[in-house]
Amino acid sequence: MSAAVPFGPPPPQRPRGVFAAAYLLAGSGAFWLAAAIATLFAIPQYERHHSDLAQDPSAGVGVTLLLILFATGAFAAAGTAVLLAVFDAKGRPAARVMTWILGGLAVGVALALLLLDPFTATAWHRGLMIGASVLTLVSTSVVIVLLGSRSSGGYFRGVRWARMAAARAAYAARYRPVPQYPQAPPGWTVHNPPPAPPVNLPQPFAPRPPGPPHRPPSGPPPTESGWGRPG
Amino acid sequence: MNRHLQRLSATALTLLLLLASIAYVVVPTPAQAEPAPTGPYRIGTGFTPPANQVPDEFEVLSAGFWPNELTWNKDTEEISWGTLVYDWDEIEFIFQLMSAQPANDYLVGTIEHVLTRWYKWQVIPKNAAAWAGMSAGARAKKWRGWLNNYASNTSNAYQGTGFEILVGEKQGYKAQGFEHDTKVSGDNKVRPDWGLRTGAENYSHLVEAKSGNWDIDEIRSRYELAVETGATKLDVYFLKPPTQKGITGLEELAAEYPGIESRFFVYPATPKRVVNPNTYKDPPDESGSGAAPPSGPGPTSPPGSLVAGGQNGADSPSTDAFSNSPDSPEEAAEAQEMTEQLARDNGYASPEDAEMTTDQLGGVDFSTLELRYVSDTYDGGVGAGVDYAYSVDAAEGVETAYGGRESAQLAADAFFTWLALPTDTFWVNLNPDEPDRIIDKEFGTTDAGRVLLEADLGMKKIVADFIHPDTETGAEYWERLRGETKCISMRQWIVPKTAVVKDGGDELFILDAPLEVKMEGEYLESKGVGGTAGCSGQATADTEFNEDVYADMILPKVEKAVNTAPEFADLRRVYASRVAAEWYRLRSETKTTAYSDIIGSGDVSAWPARKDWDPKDVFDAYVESYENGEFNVERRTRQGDYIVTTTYIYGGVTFFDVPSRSVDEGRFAAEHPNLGTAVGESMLSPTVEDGAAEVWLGGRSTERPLWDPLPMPASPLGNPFFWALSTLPVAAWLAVGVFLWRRPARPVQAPYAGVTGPVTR
Repeated sequence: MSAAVPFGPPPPQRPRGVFAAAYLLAGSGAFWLAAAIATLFAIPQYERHHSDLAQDPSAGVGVTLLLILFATGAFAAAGTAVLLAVFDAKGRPAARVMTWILGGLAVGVALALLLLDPFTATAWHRGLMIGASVLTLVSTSVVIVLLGSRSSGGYFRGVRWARMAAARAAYAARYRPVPQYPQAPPGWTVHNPPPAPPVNLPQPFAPRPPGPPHRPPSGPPPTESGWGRPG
Repeated sequence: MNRHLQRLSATALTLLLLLASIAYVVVPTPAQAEPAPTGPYRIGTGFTPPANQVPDEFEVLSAGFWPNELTWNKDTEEISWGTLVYDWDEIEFIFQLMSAQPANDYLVGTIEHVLTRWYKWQVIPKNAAAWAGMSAGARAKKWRGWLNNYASNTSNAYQGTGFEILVGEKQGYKAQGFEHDTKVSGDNKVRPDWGLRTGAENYSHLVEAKSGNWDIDEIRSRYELAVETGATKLDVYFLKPPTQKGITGLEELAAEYPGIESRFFVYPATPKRVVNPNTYKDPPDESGSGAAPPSGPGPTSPPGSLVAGGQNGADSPSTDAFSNSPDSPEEAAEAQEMTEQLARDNGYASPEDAEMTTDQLGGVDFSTLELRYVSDTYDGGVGAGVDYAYSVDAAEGVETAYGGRESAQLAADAFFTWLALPTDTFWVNLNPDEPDRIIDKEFGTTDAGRVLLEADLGMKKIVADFIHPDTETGAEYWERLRGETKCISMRQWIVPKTAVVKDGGDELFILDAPLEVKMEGEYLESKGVGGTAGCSGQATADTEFNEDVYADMILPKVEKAVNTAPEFADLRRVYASRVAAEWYRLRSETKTTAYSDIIGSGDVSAWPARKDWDPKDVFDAYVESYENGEFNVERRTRQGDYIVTTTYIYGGVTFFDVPSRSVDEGRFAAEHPNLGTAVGESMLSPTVEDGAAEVWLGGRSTERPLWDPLPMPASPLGNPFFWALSTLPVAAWLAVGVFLWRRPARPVQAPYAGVTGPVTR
């Protein structure tokens, strides 16, 4: 097993703010997951409450469906938050943008829950949802701010450049003619030596289109170029 | 190594939580406690009542008519029953046929029996004289009251008999040969509910079943009967659980009769009405609605119960006390007479034997009734709604208290009126300049609105009493006034003062709910008795001085009267309901309550005024008095014919805001150490707070009837699986956090390190 050889420059050190943002985002996801589970447990009480209000046993079906929908949304949001947290920590710029979008949505939902207070029928669940909403408001706001800070921006840009540079280096390493190009065996004459390796690497945003993959000659060496047996 | 240990511990913690959750699923959940089986349970020292017991059911026969299907025609004075119409001649004819019946009388509960008893009542000279002096409306009311009295007595008797049969059959007395409801002997007409006879006038074992309210003397009479007939065993069954004080009284009574082995039971059971095939209509809803169902207040609605909008009224001592409270001593005597007559018609020696006793609360003054406790017990489908309690001043020497029904209906109706209407409609205004702004239109259809407007008028009239020159205060008042006409013109109105309450979060004790009378000097455009508007002929300085004199001497007396005088009892009553309703309104803003839908609905059609009234009539009475000087004091200030009316008062009552101050827990416990207990026990029986002079009458509304067997969904808070699952994500997050925090920083690694395959961006 050979040791890994890095390509290109190392990415910048991850700022504490990015780490905190990613961790808080994952925490929000954890709370949403907990809230979703608790909501599923609360369904029988809501169903009964609404049935009693309407004096109709079937009147609780609607609210049951709504709660299931709500819990499903919370599950999905929680999963997305955890994924984004991981990618944020890795410095993926797309994840940062997605986090802002998700954070905005979460803040909106949390505000709506606090203002509309739709869970009044079951006291314990209402308390839980208010707590989760407040936590979401606080943590998501902090996440949004932290990810938007200058140090975070530098980190995400740095990672992007490092990744691009590394990609170019890896590309070049992959397709550059190896220095140890096979030499003609002793006694053989080289008629058309291979071209010299490129001096400049591909420019950012304008990479040279890759040439055909290099294949070792399968038949006898050409007589007009390359190398052949001495005559 | 250390790093591996940290990873291992974090993973182990997460797995542990997961395993705990799975283990809970695998391990069977302990079954919830089954409801206690039906049947009676012993009460007294050493016995614990079962929890969550499902009551039995017993059938109760009904009379051959429902009170609400016998209607009185005001114009023709005929009684209609379905398609049948009885005029006076026909009633007289039915009476004459009575003697042709097998027992020389009709069966109690039949339409013929009702009509003959009505005929008998009519021909009594004093009743005939009273009847002759009644208006058509009063006659209709009299008929309704008389009929309700008849119906409640017969209903009590039917229910008592049904409960006796339940006890006898389910407890095996019947199977053992106990006799049911037979006379002791030809001479002794007392009829024990069940008795195991050992001789012509002797028993070995007696059983008494009390389905309604009872007093200790009734139980004592059974002990006496046991002694008289030689019985050595006495079992007493109660349909409703007695209070602790009641149980203690029973035990003390039992100790007085050591030769009799006595046992006391509570037999939870609910009556099931068996509809008489002769009735025309469905049975009236007796689930309770003092505040009236959507169809409006009906004669069968228990008064004073805070029940509306689909809630059910639980049996409570308050509704019994109010329902059985006669309006006057005459009515009470008449009701007692009818009860005794019906008991005799049924062949019993006394109303007690016939289970026809209607317990009337004594020792209280119902005019002081106020809603002083309300509790929100609604918690999302667990079956409760509102607990409430009225306080009534104790009145020594009063055997039967009168007027409870009317007072309780007013308090309960006002509570719902305050909930339903927006708070900015809670005003009334008697100002001769504003005939179009007397009262809000919707508010004017309610009794609460009537009470406020009448209180406003009453306040103006009571001022006349205070400033009358013949009184000591009045003479001094006039002496101090300045100006040639000694004129004063002002606005004076009633507003709430800061109420003292104990807000316990889900319950409210109203400890004091005072009112305040405010005044300010103003001048009217309308001309009063003196022929001038306001005090236009008087120097402003004199008028202001006179106002100060008034504020100093008269205003405190007016305020005291508003807070204590009997004339303002209704105002204080509706205001106490306003305080309770305001608390309930605010609570409903933070959680769903039983009456969330009523709050702010603006619909008070379910609680219309129970008395015919028109706000314009009150206004006209005020204007007439204002213009003609009925209660504006006239005083001869000079010799001759020069008379000056010098007081103009107008104003109103506004209950927009209800300022309140909640006492803290320590002070409440110190000043009212037994209030909570008294109010709690008042749900079972009228109770008195130790050391206080108030009687508490409690009641309860429930989302479903208390005997509803529909199981309630269990709260997941007692479910460990719920806790394990819902805390798992957060615990995992924290564990990962700890792991990351303690992990040594890894060296920064370039992207694509070790990548050997194709690279893409």
